[in-house]
Amino acid sequence: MRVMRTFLLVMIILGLTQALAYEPVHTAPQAVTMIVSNPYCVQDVETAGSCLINLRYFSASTSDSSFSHIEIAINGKVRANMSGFFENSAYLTGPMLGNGLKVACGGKNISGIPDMGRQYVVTLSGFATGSSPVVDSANVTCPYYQRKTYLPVLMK
Amino acid sequence: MRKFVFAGILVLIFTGGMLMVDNLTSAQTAPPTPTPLTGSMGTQADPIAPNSLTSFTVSNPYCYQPDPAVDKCSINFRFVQATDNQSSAPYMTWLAFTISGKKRYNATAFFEGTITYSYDMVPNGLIVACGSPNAGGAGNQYGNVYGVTIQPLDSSRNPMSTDIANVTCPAFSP
Repeated sequence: MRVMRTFLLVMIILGLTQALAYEPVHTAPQAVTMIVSNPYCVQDVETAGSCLINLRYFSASTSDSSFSHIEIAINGKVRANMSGFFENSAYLTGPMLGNGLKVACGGKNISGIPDMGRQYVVTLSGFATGSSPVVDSANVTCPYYQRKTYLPVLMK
Repeated sequence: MRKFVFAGILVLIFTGGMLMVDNLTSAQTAPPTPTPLTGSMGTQADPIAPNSLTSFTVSNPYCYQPDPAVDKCSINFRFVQATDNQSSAPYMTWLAFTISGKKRYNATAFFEGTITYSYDMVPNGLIVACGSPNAGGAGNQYGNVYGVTIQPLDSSRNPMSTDIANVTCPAFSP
């Protein structure tokens, strides 16, 4: 009787060992690796109230095929999107965004920074399937726009 | 004696069954496998196949909104390159980009067997409407979704290869 009990115990232990041994191992999803350069703001035309935000480069990749896409957002509004269709990564350079992403320069000292205009939050995000996005944010301050009023020259 | 052996076998069958169920469940809940990607070099045509392109490399298309106050977005690619070794017909004669069924770009292979496109060849990109929030069903931050097709064509305008991508543009929400 004792032998039988021992046998049953051994069988149970064997079963449990088997269960643990074959427990499927779920590989952790790969987070996106991002390399970003500093964003900047330029007022290319002094007489215009619009400024341009751009950055030198923004690249993102994953070591597996879970790469999804990258986004550039300014003050929470998505302004650029590149999906990983043909590549397992995304690589964006400043000139690929034309002249840059247009924003309002803003008046002098509007952001509280002396001799500067508006400040924007530029968010660079990388997404992969099955993992949380990787997000980098930077405050970018633009040159101010000095509105000038030209009075007509009146001839007497 | 038999009772205990039978109980032992039952335990083994039960644990085995539990394992199978777990495997099936985990297979169902696993994240969907993305479309196979071909690495940083993009797609590569088979160089051994007769009458094929030697290579066809495409980088990811992208869409951006230069001015949030205007419903105009730009679609572009970092590079696209198609090469035909010109050893046998049909020969690659054109490289064309189509956005939502409309041909938007066409380059001719005349002096060279390779056609290369770079984003700065169309500095402002291919202009499309951004679309209202969630117009393409990709969420409120996004507008229209465009099907972008890249095709090297032979002299009879038959595609020698085709790459298709859906490109999602930022929403126009002034």
